[in-house]
Amino acid sequence: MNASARPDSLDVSLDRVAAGDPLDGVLAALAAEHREHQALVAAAAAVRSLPTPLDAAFRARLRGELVHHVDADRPRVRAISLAWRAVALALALAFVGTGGLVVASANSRPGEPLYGLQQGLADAWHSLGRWLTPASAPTAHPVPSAPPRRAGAQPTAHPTPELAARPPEDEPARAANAAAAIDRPRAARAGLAHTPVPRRTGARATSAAVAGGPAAAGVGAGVGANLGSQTATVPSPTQPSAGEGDDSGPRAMQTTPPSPGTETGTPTPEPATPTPTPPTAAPTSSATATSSPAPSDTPTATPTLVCPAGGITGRVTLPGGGPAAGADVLLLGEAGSQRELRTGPDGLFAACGAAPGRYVAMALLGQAPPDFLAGIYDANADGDPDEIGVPDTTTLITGVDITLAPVMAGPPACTTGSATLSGRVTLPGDVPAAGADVMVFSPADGLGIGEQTGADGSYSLQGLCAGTYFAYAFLDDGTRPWFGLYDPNDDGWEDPIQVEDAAGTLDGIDIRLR
Amino acid sequence: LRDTTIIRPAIRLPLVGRLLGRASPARPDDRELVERARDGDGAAFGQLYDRYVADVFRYLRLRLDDAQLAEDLTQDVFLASYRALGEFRWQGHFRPWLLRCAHNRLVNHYRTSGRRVAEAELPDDDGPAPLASEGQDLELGLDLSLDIEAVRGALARLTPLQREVIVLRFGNELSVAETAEVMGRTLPSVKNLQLAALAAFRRQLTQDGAG
Repeated sequence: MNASARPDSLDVSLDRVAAGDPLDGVLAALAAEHREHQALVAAAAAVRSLPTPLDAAFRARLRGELVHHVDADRPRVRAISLAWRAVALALALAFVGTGGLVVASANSRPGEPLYGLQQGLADAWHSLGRWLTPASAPTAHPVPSAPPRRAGAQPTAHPTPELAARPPEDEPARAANAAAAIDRPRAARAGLAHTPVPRRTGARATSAAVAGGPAAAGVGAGVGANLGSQTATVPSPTQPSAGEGDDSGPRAMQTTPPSPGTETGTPTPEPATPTPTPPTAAPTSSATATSSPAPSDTPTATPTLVCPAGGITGRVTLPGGGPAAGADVLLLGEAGSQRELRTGPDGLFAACGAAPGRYVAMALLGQAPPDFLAGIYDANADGDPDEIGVPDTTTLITGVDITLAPVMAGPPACTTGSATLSGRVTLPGDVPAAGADVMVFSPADGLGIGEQTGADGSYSLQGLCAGTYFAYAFLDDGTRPWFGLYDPNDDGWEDPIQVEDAAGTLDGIDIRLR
Repeated sequence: LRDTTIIRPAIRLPLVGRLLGRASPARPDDRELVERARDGDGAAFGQLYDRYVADVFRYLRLRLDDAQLAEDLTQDVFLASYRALGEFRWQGHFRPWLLRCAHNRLVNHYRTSGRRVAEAELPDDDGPAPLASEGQDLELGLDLSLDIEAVRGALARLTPLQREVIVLRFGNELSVAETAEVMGRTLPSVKNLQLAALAAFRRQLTQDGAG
C-alpha cells in the first residue's frame, strides 16, 4: 500500500485504541481490505493491554513521604510564591503604560484564564443545589445529630466481623438469583442480608452482623465466592422480601463494584477471609452485632440491610416520610466511579463491597415533574452533598439516608420560549453518534430538555427560552457508555450557551463524546 | 408544565450524576489541587498523586525494563513536579505536564547513565512514514493472544523515540495532541512517528513470534 494514500480510517482507529475502545469493535470498523491497518491497530492494542502493576506498599510509602514533604515545605513554598509575585509586580510596574499590567492581573486568581468559567461552574453547582432542594421545607431527616460538614465519614461506620464459613452456593439457587436480579449488563453483583434490627434512640443503625445462621452463611457464600461477578440472594427469615417487583421470592439486591481501579488496573479487594468457625460476638457494640438476626417484634424495629463485609447502606424516603420503593440511588466516588442501585419496597439500598474512598450519594425517583423526585445525602441539611468516607473494605457504613423532594416544585420559569438549539454529536474520529441522548440543562430553573440524535448525529432542541444553558450528551452503544459535553474551548469543562433571542436558532452546539 | 421537560431515565441518571460528580466538593478538580499544593497543602498534593501515580509509573515502567528503576524514577518525578509547581501554568490539563516531567527525568537518567538518547533517528516533518514492508506479516496482530513477554520484548527493541510515542499513545492512552505536548513535537510529527513506530513494533513482534 502506498503510505501517502493512507486513509484517515487508520488515524481514527488508533484514536479509538488510545481512547480505550474495545479492540474487537475497532477492528470491525476497519474495512476488510485494510488488513495491515488491522495489524497495526492490534499491535497498538497489545501495548495498551500490557500490565504495569504498581506495588501497593511502594505506592503507600511514597504517598506518605510526599505528603509529609509538602507539608514540611509549606513555609518555603510560600516564600517562593511571594518572591515570584514580587517579581511579577515589579515587571508589571515596569511595563505600566505598555500593557504590562496584564502580568499583575494574571498573578491574581480572579484574573487568571478560566476564572470566570470556574465561577460560572460554581454558580451552576449552587443552582443545582437549589434544583435539588424543594421549595417547601423538607421532611425531617431521620438523623438524630447532624455531623459536621465534610468531616469524613459522617454516617455510622462499623468494622465488620470476620465472616462465618461459607458453604458453596448451589447452582440452581444462583440461577434463580440471577433471574431475580435487576438486569444491568455491566453490573457485577454481590449479596447481602436483609435483617431487621432495632434502631436505638440517638444512634444510627446498625452493624454488619452476619455471623452464624443460614442467612449469614448464604451471604458469605455469595460474596466470598462471587464478589464482583455474581448475584447472591439470601432468604430473609423474618422480613418480607425486598426484591424489586417481587415480594414473595428471595431478596435480590445488586451492587455494582465501583471502578476506581479501571484506570489504574487496581482490583477491588476481596472481603474478609472466611474463618472456619463462626464468631460468637461481633467486635462492635451495636445491638445487632450478634450471631442471629435481631427480634422483629421490637416496637422501634426498622429494617436495614447488612452487607457481609464492608459497604454502604441506607434508606430513601418519600417527602411524606414513607419508603421510596424503586428509587435509583447513585453513589459517586471521588475517582469518578459511579454505582447505580435501586431501593426495594422498604426504600432500603446497599452497596456492598464499596471500595475505600469518599463518595456522595443521591437518589432519584419518577420520570418527570411533578412526579420527579430527587434527593442527596445531606445529613447536615446545608444543601450540599455530604461525603461518605469508606476507610477500608471491611467497614460497613450505615445510615446513608436520603429524603426525596420534588424537583421543580413549581412551574418552570420558562414556558413560552421558542428558541432552538441544534448541533451534532460525534464519537472519536468525528463518527456521527446516532441515537445519543442530548440534554440541555438550565441551571436557572432546573429545566432539562432532551432528545435523541438522528442517524447523522444531529439534534435540534426546540422550545427554549432566552437564558443560559449547558449541553450534555450520553450514549451507550453496548460496548461502553460515552459521555460528552458542550466544550468548545476543550478545557474539559462544560461551557455555557447563551440563548439571547427567545425565537432564534443557535446552531453549532456540537458535542464530542469521550 | 411543558411536556418537553421530560428527561428520559437513560440520560437522567448519568447526567445528573455527572453534574453532581463534577461539581461535588468531594472531587476537587486538578487545578484547585495544584493551587493548594502550590501553597504547601500536602493533602492536595496527595490527591494529585493518587490520581496520577499509576500513569507516571506506567509510562516509566513501559519505557524501562526495570521495575525497581521505574519506582525510583516515579519518586523523583513527583518530587520534581512538586518543586516545579511554581512554574506550572494551567492550560486545561495537568496530566500531560506531569508526564512531561517524567519524560525529562527519563532523559536525564539516560544522560547520567551514559546511554545514548537516540531521539533524532526519525525526521520530524518529512512526510508520512512507511507503514511496513509490502506484503509481509499482514496476519500479525490479529492474533490477540500475544504473550506479554513477547510484547515487552518487542517494545524493548524499539528505539527510545519509537518506544516513547507508542507508550504515550497506547500505554498511557494520550491523544495525539497530548503526546505532542509531552514530547515537545508537532502534531504531524507525532502522527508520522507513531505510524513508523507501530510498523517497527509489529515487525519486532513478528520476528519474536517467528523465533
